[in-house]
Amino acid sequence: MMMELSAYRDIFIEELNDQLERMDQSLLALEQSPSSELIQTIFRAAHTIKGSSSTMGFKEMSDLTHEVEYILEWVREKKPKITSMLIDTLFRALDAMKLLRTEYISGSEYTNCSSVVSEIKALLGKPAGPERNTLPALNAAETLLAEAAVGAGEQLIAVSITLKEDCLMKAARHFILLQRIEAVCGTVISVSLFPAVTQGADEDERYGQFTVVAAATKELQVIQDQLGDDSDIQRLHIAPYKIKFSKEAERMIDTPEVSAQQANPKAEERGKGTPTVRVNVERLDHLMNLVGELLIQQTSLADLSTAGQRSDPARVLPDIGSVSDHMGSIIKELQEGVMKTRMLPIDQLFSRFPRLVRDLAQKLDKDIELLIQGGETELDRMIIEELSDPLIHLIRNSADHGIESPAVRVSGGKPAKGRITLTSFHEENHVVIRLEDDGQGIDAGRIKASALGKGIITEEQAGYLTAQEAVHLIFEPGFSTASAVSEVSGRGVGMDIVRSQIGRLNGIIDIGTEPGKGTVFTIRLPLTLAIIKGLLVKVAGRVLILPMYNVAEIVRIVPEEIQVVQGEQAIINHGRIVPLSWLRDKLHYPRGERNTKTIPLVIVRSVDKIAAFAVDEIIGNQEVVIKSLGAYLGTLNHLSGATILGNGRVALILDAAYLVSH
Amino acid sequence: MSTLQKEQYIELAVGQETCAIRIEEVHEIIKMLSITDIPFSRNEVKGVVNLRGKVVCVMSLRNLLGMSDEPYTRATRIVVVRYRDEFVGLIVDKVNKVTTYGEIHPPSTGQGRGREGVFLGIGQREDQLIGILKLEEILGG
Repeated sequence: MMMELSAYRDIFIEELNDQLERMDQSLLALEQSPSSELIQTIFRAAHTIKGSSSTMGFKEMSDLTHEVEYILEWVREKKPKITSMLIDTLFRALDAMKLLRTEYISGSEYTNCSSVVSEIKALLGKPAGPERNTLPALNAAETLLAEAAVGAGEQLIAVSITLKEDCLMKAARHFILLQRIEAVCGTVISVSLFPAVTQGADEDERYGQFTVVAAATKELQVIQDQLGDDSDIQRLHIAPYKIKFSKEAERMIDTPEVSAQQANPKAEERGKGTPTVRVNVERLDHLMNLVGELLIQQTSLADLSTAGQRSDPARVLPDIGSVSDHMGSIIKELQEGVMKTRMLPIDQLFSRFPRLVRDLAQKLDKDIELLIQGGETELDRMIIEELSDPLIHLIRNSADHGIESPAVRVSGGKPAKGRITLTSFHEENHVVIRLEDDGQGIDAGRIKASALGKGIITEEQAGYLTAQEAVHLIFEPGFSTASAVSEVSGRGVGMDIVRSQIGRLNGIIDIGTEPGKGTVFTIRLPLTLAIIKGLLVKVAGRVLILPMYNVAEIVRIVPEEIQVVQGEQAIINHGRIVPLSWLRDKLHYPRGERNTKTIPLVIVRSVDKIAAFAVDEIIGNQEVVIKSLGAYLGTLNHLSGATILGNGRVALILDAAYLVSH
Repeated sequence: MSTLQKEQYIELAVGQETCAIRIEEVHEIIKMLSITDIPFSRNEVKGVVNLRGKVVCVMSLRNLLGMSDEPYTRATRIVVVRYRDEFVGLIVDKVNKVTTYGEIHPPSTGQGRGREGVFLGIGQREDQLIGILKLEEILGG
């Protein structure tokens, strides 16, 4: 049974991700404008998850979704006002579900979700009933205690008590009752309080309702009688309690399952590791057609080869040429088609941010709206995954440092609600992502002063930095202007990591800012990482490749044009000073004779830095397939991979970000 | 030791020494290819080669065993081994043959040559002794 189900594991996880995402989005929409359709959507998602997780034997999830479904049903029927408390509770339940999902995927121990469940109960005003799934779950230590008690022949019971409304000093009452229970029944294993029914209620109120799990030696009825005479108890309910065995105990009971898993550890690993893509069937059909055409061309090539053997080979040459051309165009189309199967709309990433902004706004006590445009823009799935962290960081910064508090905004003549706009669109061979906020902007003067104070720049450098250059200092390691470290951002490790992450994706990041008006971050990324346009250069007899995105310009200079500024070689390019180095020296290749009069230079740009590199020869540009250098070699920061050239040799692809910054 | 005795080994020459690799760990043996060197890599990493479209890292077994490099000859081979889910090439001076050993002794220790642990055992055939390499140690160390 287990083995069969594991085949569906991937599908299940994928579906789970989809449904959780849908719930997330609908909840956000619900918060903005309540509608019964949205509630229906969330309900359906929860219902689907409940069904599929119980099929997969993922009980923790199906139990939790059961509760969520319950509350949604209540909302659907009773149509109460959608309060922020209700939304918060649902979000917390959703977070708990996400946590369970992560734990399910990684195969780790599940977190106890009882607090969320009881929160839902509290919201519904439903007392802790006798149903089994409303009883508190036990943590590891408690489970051991319970197991020991069961082992000793004792019976587990759950005692649910609701104190009278007018009972004074509920906390004290609670502890007295605990002692009584201990005296009447036996060992108290766990105590769980129900959270305050209304927010902001007296701390004492929390003790108004609680459930105790205890090991008992007496009959239920006897206990009921002995406890029932307390005048402060409004409601008393005693039921047998069934424990869920701890993992160890479970394993001991369920040996056949274990052996099945041990026998097939590889399958388990595969289930965890392989990401899947959904591909439009139309796209697949298109690929299939292209493969068909290729086969036809291959047949005609074979025919030509036989014809060439029979008669004069020279006569079939023109035909071979045309077949080759045709094949070339098919292959190109095939390449584009395959590439498209790796593409995902960037919405997959953007859709996570409304929730982030909502939580940030709440935490920072600001009013912020997030506008998303161009979510349909397609990008390589791998780039999308890698973009998540840098974008989260930028959004946090915008919310924390960019957008002012409502009071400041109003006094500055701006609407109280701050706005962050996230836009994405294609531009030539790139995808552009723009993050714009209408906050206070970045003050170049403050940045300069702070960088000076932290020793990132010298007094002299500060003198000739333009405002634009000063703003870019925020990308330097160890830079953070926030005077106090805030919870949201400002640990001073952020922006340089953002820059290096974007750089690793062969992207470029730019800042535009206007004090008082806002800040725009523009990220420019290649469409894919699997195939890139590369510039082939020759250095010390070796062919090296520079990604074309990073090549700003190719120039030829005569040696006299090289200047020495502060002991470093540099050239003047379009009126600015660009540091120059010899690629041969940079890569520690042996020095050779040079007999050309002019020196070919490649001007490389990465993120916001620029540098010129002298090479021996420029070969030209071509599309190259990026191959990994493998894990054995470890991290090589100066290389972003390798490719195989037409002559079968391996050529290394240099990492532009490394070149310009080392 | 009984499992080791039944196994087949590839016997190869590195400098004056003859050693062996378990045939199970060998993916293929190829002639010398043109190697692309990698800047800033360890000395024993000779570079990468194109193994039918796959980029494979090649190492000098001479260097790994503490010997210096010699120019490659017509007998030089790359023994491609499987190591932690990837292929790694080992450059050897010569590949002798596939063989089995009648007797395998536990590896000797404490010779003070800094090479403890690189051998799984010592294979004996007639009066010849051959060290069986422990790839995990050589490549992972």
